[in-house]
Amino acid sequence: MEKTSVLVALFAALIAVLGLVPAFPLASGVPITAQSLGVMLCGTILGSKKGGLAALLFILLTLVGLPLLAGGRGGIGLLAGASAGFIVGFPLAAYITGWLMEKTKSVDIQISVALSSIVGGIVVLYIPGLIGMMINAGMSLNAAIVAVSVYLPGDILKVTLATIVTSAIFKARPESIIARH
Amino acid sequence: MFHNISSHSTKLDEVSVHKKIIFTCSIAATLFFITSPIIMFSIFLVLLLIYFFVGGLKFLWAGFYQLKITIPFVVVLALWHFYLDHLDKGITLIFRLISAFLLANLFLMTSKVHDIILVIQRYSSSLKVFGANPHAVSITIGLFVRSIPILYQRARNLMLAQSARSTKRGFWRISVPLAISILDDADHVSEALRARGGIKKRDD
Repeated sequence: MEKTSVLVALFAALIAVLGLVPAFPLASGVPITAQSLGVMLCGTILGSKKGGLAALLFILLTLVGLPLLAGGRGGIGLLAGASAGFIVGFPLAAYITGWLMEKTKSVDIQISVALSSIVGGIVVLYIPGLIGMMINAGMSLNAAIVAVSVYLPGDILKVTLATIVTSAIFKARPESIIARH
Repeated sequence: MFHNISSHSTKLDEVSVHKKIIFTCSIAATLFFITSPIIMFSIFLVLLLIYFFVGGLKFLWAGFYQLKITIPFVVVLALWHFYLDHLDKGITLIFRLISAFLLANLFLMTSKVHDIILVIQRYSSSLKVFGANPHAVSITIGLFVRSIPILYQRARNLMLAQSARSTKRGFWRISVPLAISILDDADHVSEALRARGGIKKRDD
């Protein structure tokens, strides 16, 4: 119980700290940030439930008003912005990433992490993200897809990084990767 | 690391945080149902008036200054809807965004982060209904907020150590040691929590 609480709190804090790494705002109004890397790591290291809870804790406190999102953004006003869908999608993305990690325990760690973070951190995250852009920015589906495609290279970089970090930890201490217990 | 965004004293400082949360959330939710650009613009003006009456001209200016983070979003929305010739919709969306930010900032600029966290922890006891352990939730929230500045400082220290060893920089080089240090911390802190009596069971 104690360990779960602490892991959830610390990984939620990791997502917040990754937001302090400089973000690059792009034309579509959704900035490139390292925060989705944090979301992927929550899933790949902590697994579905704990990872999802960490992302949920981060999002709830951000929406209540703590300025934790990249660029010091926070507050219920975020739900009116173009990135609302991505923000709301964080817990789901972390959960699915973790769930896939748990389902691919027998596969080589690098393949398992890469697959889980591509599906969870990109595919699953982009669905609510696109819906958010369509609602809040009034874009059509095609326009929203074109707009988010700019983020793909950055996200693929994050998947690579998540794979490097998770497999390095797995090599050093396999017991720390809870998703593979 | 956390402080009031504004150092201005205002008439809303003394109003209880949970009343302000309820007010902010209900108005923000209402904004989503408004489709008329004229009503949306009027709400924006009313919010500016509230800023002025609550904290004076300086506070209004500080609130306006906080809106700078919305500039890229506003520019994109404006160009997009100008291109599509949907000016009505564009104006509604832009003023909805700006009003939502003004509203959220009004709450943040008149409340101390410490008080906000206390209210969140108090509300978390209602999670009992969903089978969550309120004591665990409350400890997790406290730990989360406390560990952000610690982890931030650690990331900076790691970056410094990295730049002392090599001219190559970049956040990714410190991500493995940072992640491992977090896992170490989790071991230490959970041991420390247990040694101090641990998290209460749901029925205690």
